[in-house]
Amino acid sequence: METIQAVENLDPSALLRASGVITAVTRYVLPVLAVLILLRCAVSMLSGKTQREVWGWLSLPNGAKLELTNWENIVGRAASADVCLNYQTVSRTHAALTRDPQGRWFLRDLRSKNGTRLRGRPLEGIAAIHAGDIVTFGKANCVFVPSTVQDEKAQAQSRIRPGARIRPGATLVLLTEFILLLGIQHTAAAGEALNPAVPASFLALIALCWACYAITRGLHRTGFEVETLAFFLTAIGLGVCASSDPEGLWKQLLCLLAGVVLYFVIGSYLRDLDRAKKLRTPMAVIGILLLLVNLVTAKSIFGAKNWVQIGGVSFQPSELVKICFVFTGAATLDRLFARRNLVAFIAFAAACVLCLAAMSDFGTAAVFFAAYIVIAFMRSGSFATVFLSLAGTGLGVFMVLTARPYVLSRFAAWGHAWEDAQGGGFQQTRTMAAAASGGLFGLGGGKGRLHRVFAADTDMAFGMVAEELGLIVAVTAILALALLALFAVRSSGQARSSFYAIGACAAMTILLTQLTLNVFGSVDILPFTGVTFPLVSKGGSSMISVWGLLAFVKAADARQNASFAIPLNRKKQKRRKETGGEEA
Amino acid sequence: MRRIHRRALAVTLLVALILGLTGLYAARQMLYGGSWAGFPSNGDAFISGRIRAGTIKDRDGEVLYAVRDGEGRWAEDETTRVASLHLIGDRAGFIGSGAMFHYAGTILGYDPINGLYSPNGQGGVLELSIDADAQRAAWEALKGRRGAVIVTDYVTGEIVCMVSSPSFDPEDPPEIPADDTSGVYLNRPLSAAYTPGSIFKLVTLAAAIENLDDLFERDFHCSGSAKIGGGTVTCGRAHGDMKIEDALAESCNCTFAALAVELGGETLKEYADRFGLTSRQEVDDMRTAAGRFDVGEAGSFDLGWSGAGQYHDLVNPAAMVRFVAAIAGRGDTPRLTLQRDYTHLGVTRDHILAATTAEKLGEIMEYAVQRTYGPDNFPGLKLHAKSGTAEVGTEKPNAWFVGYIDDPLHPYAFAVCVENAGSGASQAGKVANAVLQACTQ
Repeated sequence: METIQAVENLDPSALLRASGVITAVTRYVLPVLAVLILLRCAVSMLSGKTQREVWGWLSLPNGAKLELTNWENIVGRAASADVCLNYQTVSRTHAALTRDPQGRWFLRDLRSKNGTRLRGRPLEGIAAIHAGDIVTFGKANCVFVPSTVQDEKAQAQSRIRPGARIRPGATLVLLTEFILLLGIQHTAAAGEALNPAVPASFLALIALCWACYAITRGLHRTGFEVETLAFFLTAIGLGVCASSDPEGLWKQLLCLLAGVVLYFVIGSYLRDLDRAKKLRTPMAVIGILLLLVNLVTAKSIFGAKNWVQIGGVSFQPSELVKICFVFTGAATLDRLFARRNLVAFIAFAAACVLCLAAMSDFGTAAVFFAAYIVIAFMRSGSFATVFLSLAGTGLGVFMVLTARPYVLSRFAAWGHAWEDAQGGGFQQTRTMAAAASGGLFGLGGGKGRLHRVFAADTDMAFGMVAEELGLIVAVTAILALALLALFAVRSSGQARSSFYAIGACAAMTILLTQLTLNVFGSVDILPFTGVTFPLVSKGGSSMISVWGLLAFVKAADARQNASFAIPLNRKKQKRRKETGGEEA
Repeated sequence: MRRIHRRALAVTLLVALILGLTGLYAARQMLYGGSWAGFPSNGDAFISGRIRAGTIKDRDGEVLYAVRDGEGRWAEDETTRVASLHLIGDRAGFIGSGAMFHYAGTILGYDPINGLYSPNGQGGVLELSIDADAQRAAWEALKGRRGAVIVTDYVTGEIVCMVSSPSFDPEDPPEIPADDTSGVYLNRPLSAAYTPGSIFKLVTLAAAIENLDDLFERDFHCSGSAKIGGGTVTCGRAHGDMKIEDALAESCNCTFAALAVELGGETLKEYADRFGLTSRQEVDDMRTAAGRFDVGEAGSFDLGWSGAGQYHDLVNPAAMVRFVAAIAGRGDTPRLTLQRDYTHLGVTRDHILAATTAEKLGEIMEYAVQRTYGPDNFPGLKLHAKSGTAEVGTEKPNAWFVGYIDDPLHPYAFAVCVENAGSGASQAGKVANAVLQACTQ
């Protein structure tokens, strides 16, 4: 902090001269810091054995105790069942044992061949199940033993907490240095034209990082990797904005703040599964309404009609619909077995994609479609559903292209950008030229010139990052999102409910698809569609929605005391004792 | 939940796709970054069409262009500037073949690690294979006449001289009217295609050597004109009785028109194509103009003339020098380049001519120098050459002189075309001699 204060007090022209020296030194430091941050987060998020939470057992006559490691368990003969009972009379997918947030357990038969009996009686529909109950799957008898308060307490004690080996505070110090150096580069590069927003926004970002860290520690949570990676990307995004539109930094900061608040709000809301589940229908309605309002009132900015003006502030409703989409798509196990639920979701998804296509926002439509495919597959496990969806969409696209061949002309330059550098390949060729100019280490923050090209700070954000900070940092930014996605996948194995697992994976699919279209569209590997690079591209609505989506990743993180979006065992146990075993 | 976890691996596929594409992109940037960064619309490389930093030198380190304090400056000496205008490029950016556009990455000091970052702002250095002395000699020998001169090292493919006329001083550009027809912005050695005239007889001869077994035993007779396919092909004088060597040395139209008709248009076209005379040839990332060979009707007068390099025939000087380099190189011709020591990793050669045919052609070209062009006109050069005097309508003919010197220390092949200059051997030959003397100094 002192360094940047000192820099601010210097004569601006001296800054400009000093800028060359600063760049010469710091351009090698930033990639090192970026890689270190990424590696520390990767080790912390992906390494080590998954320690599943155990919520109860099924005790077999032979003395074996089969663990119930989730709140939603499928009992069956299949190897993919959560509780695998290898008896001839047990169906492959026989029954579901689910626990609600209050610790109550329920049993449901999943149309098994030989039926399920609870306490000797045939089970119909869903029934509550208690400690010591005898359950008969086909002809296999089990005794149900839920974990006790003591069990859970012991488990909480024994599970390793994240941050013990890779300390999140130390990673955050590295990130602070990264942001500080980036801020200094931009401040120095601006010289006499320095806008106070530039140093101010980088300092504000550092303050926000540490405030979030303080909140996390204050809530006795030790997982901070998701936030660290998100702030890392946000810092790079601030650099993009500082180069292209320093005045716009204020709005960007404000939206960042709103995004972080939304992150904590959604995360906290997701803590309670019952509460979160109830939001599904309202969210679907809000999503469709937002898109319809958008369709009716929106004005076309830069080709796509996805902007709405409210009180002089332009705004992209489709960004917020992404959050609604994830809420609607996520589902608990009990809903997965009713086909009509999936059909309803397919209808909702189709409505969203059609609205976006009607706005000519094909990039975002593709993002929603990818999320739909992942959600539909995770919910149904059926390749047929996926293939049918793909085939249906393919047919739709084919019909659109036949009826309106000019849509295709947008993609005519794909793969041939250099042959049409002043036409269809305009953005791509400039992105690649600028990226190559940066080499591995970049020209230095604020020293690039790609930002002079129209919409460089959104559609060509990857090029701006590669130009100013080099390919290493640019690739690190890609890997940061990839890492978040792998983390979501890993978390989905131990998430308490499929709601969280599907939510996290759907959210990351949206972000990854955006990333893919943005980066590889701008370098002519994929068609250029003009979607944003999450957190890196300039854009307020996008900033808010990405932070909102990340809350779903946080809600799936069931490591011990890792996530604020998951209730602490310790607290709950205390309260359960006070209220006689059931939490309010 | 275990199933949900398994299905979540679908997201891992997306991650794998992203990693794969990232790797693909990174590899592409490492491979092609130099030419990407040198893109004239790249703001990091050019400022309003002018390169931001760097130096262009000739093969001996003479500065041909340098950016100092943001200002681009051509060579100090005016003749050098004018002679190398098309090679380097002009301030307005009208000369598309300019090295400052095609080698911008190198000039700016691009490397895959640091990109265009230059700690001292000096950029990099492009070392051209060009010899500035040869440039000046060529320009002076052209004496203001329009034309093209190109000399290349037939072992490495390095171009040591490339001059186009008309030209102007880039430091003091004249007003050039919009309706200018002189083609002042055209880099003739690469971008022009001329009627070849008798130099095309080398192609006809190559085809004859490979297709007519008794060629060297045959006796030819020239009475000054010959009836071919309803027309009359004429020579400047009656050459009388001769062998094929003499027919080439004397450049006997009657003999070559007859050979063309005997070989047939398809065969001649096949050879012209194989020698790269009808297609665009590569010079680094640039491409030459394509030549042309229209097959006249079988047995016709037109076919006869096309075999003598008239009719609709067109050749590009750089493509011609590439062909001549193959004669000098026992059938192998190296890829042409303007960059010095660019070939240190190994020269890529195209085999376009049988070695024995190349040797025979070389011998006959040497004989032509001895008999017709006069070795005394080319002191100290072991020259093998062929002249051409190409009729171009009503104006004076274009003078061509192509060939190579058989000298391991100076393995140069050349093509010179002086527009409307008259006799090939005397006019273009003089220019060639001046340039080759400068090259071999």
